[in-house]
Amino acid sequence: MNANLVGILGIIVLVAFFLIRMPIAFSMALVGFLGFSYVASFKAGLSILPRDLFEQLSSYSLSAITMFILMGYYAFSAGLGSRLYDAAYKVLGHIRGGLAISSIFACAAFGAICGSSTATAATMGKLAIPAMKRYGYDSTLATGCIAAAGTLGILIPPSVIFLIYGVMTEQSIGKLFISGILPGLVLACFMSIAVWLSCLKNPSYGPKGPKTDLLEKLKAIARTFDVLVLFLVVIGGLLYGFFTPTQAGGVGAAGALIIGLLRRELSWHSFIENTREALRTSCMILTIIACATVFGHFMTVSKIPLNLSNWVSSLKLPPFFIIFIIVLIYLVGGCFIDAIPLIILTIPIFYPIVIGLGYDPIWFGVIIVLVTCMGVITPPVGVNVYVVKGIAKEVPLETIFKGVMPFLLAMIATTICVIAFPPIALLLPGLLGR
Amino acid sequence: MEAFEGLVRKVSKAFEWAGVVGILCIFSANIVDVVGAKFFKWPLPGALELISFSQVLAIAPAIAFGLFLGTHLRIDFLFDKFPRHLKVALGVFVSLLCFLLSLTIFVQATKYAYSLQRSGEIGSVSKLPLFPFAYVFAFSLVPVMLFFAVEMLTIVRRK
Repeated sequence: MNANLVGILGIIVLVAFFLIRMPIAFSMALVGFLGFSYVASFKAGLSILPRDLFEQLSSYSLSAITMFILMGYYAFSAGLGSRLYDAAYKVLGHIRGGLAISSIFACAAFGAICGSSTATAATMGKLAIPAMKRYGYDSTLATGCIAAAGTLGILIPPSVIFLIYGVMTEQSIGKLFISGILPGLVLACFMSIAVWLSCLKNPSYGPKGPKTDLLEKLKAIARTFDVLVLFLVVIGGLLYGFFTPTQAGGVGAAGALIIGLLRRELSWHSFIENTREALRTSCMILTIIACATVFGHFMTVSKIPLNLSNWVSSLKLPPFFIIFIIVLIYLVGGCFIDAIPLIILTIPIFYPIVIGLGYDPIWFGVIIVLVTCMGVITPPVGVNVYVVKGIAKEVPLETIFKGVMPFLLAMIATTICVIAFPPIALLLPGLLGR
Repeated sequence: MEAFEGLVRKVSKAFEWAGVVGILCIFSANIVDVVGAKFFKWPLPGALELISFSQVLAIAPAIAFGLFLGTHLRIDFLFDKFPRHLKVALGVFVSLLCFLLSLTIFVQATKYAYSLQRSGEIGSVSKLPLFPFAYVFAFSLVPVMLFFAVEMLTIVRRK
């Protein structure tokens, strides 16, 4: 059997292992090990297995992921989310659908200190869903809006997905981070339009909330000043080369801890519990990355990425069409496979193709994150939907999936905009990242 | 059986606490390095290696308890639709494969750690020997193996 055929068989076996509920990381390590052993030699397979895993787990660049996850959890335990929600609520809550719109912008703001979509959805869901319920919001809109807006956590920097993409493709993490800001704001605006249109069609979906005076609004905004400072220190320091990504994540985590201590919102118990949660999330991600390296070596010796890239180039198809196909693959794949393993598996295959077509790697990173955002809310593996279901236990899963649909359209619209107008993603890296 | 499962869970939890110490080591080394480098012109010597190796101490021991908590991603939606007997058969098959894989990694990682010990490989700046971290990685696979053994036995027993 030639190496290409073994590679294709390996991918089929990998998908089969996923479907029979083998842990994703273990599936990749097993198929990678067996495939590599078949193509190279069993001795070589046995040799790369522990080396790949150990080298990845002891990789300095990957420790940035651990630190940014820690930052997100400490920000959560420091109560930063509640102040952001309070500010958004006081500014926008009085308009029709305003609580949902304020939740979207609160998610965007929380995304500026937390790099995870599930953590953003969980934090804001706990605050916003009870508030929306109190003011008679329809549960479809309330839950759908939080599940979808949680994805802003991975688009607006810092972002775990951008970090993984940056490490895998050796792109500047700072440039990748700031490239997500404008698309994140565009997405937040499109999502707000989706809320507004839903409420226009059915006014009972999102009644008006209470009005607040200007002084109250200003006070609420002022209370989020420390979040702004933390964001500027972390992202600014990273962008201007003052910190490495790992250092920036560490400084962000320390900053969130200090804010929590100064505001007396952080207890010893929550510090320990959030450290453990951060460790569990980091462990899950890094185990997948380490095991994907074994699989990646198998793909390399099977020459599939190289041959696929050459084959696509020889097709003479318009580059736009190839990007469309790649986005479609991510959309469909994202419905069935969780975002992180999907991008870890596919980037080594698609990245050379996209770069070969002359596209900007930073721009492609933004596209990857946008399609990942869609993957986390589409059935059946819409992880954010399950997070929201955990908060709003009385709301049926189908209702939440129905609720995310208008926001999915908003995400598609944003993706089309970024594909059609690349400066949306590239303007800030061009201006600030020189 | 319950006693064995309880023991494995306790061991895995103890390993996770070792991981908590590891992640706090990464965090502390990072902060000491940043504060030292930016304010006192004294970066922590070998910080990069210290952080990298601490990551092994953090992540590897936490794998097993993550399996107990279900934090390691699995795709459930299709599996849940299978008939009961097929679920049992596939469950045993998957646990067995994962057990064998963990065993292979454990054996190979122990050999790898031993080779590092014999060659005396050390970090270029920190001068920290690599082999203890490789051993930690290898022995962290023990509760992982035990988890899959427990999982396999539990599926067979519930059949």
